[in-house]
Amino acid sequence: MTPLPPPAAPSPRTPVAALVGLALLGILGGWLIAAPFALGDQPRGAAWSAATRTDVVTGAALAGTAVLGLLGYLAAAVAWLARYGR
Amino acid sequence: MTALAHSGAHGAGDRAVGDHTADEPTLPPLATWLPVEPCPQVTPPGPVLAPYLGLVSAVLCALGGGWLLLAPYALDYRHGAERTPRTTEIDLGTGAAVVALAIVSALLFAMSLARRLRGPEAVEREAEREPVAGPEFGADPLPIDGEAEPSVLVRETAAPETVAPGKAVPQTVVPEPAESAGARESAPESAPEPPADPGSALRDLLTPLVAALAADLKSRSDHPEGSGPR
Repeated sequence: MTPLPPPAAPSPRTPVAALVGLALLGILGGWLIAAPFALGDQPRGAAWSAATRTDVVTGAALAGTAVLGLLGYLAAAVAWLARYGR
Repeated sequence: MTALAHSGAHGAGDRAVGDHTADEPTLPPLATWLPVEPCPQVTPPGPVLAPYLGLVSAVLCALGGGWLLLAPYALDYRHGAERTPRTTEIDLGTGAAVVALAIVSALLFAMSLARRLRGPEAVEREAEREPVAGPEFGADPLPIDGEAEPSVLVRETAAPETVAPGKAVPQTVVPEPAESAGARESAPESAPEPPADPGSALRDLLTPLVAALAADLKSRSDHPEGSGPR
């Protein structure tokens, strides 16, 4: 008599396209940070203009949010699999 | 001394049993002793936190993209110039891309979240659509829903072959009262047992013990107190 297997939940499909979109958003945030310096709109050593400040701050916020979202998704999925996965 | 006290303590109860049925010991039906219904298995919840976090992140990114679209006009990048500066074009282009990507990602995360919140049945149907690797060659076939395991089928089909039709199938060696036997005959018609009964192993384990207890009670009722074997 073999013991009954523990109850396991079926693993749902991973939203791969949504995760790829979130990663692209993080890349766009990095591009926003680097764009004023890469395109020469912000001279080296000069005071930052309003456009540069806006691009850097918004790009950092975008990249941070996207990376945090990806890490949060990964952590939540791993925690669920460790508890209920097959 | 302890044996005398033990027999004296149970003497009244043995006489009462002997008065009730002289030749058959009274035992409660076996079905009342053992759990007939299997314990219900609670389905674990689906993973809803992960797509929720992704949805929140995508919505926040969409808000950031909207700010990128508004920033050149809100902060006046032109400063009265005739031509639009390149930073404005970069912000508008990047903001539009961020908004589009964030909205698409948010919709996909929302669809995933809604599918998981719909219940485990939808997730199971979704998992059934995906190709699953079959069992290896030579391995035991997986039991299909609605069918019993081969050992259960052998146990259920072996007994009726040795018994003439129309008679009750002696599942155990324990003699039972007439009313409990009749109740057991009518039980399978009203509520058929599940094919893979987890209580059957426990029933098989306890059946010899109950039989021994019944034989002990029967011997006590046949031999009154003091005349039995010491």
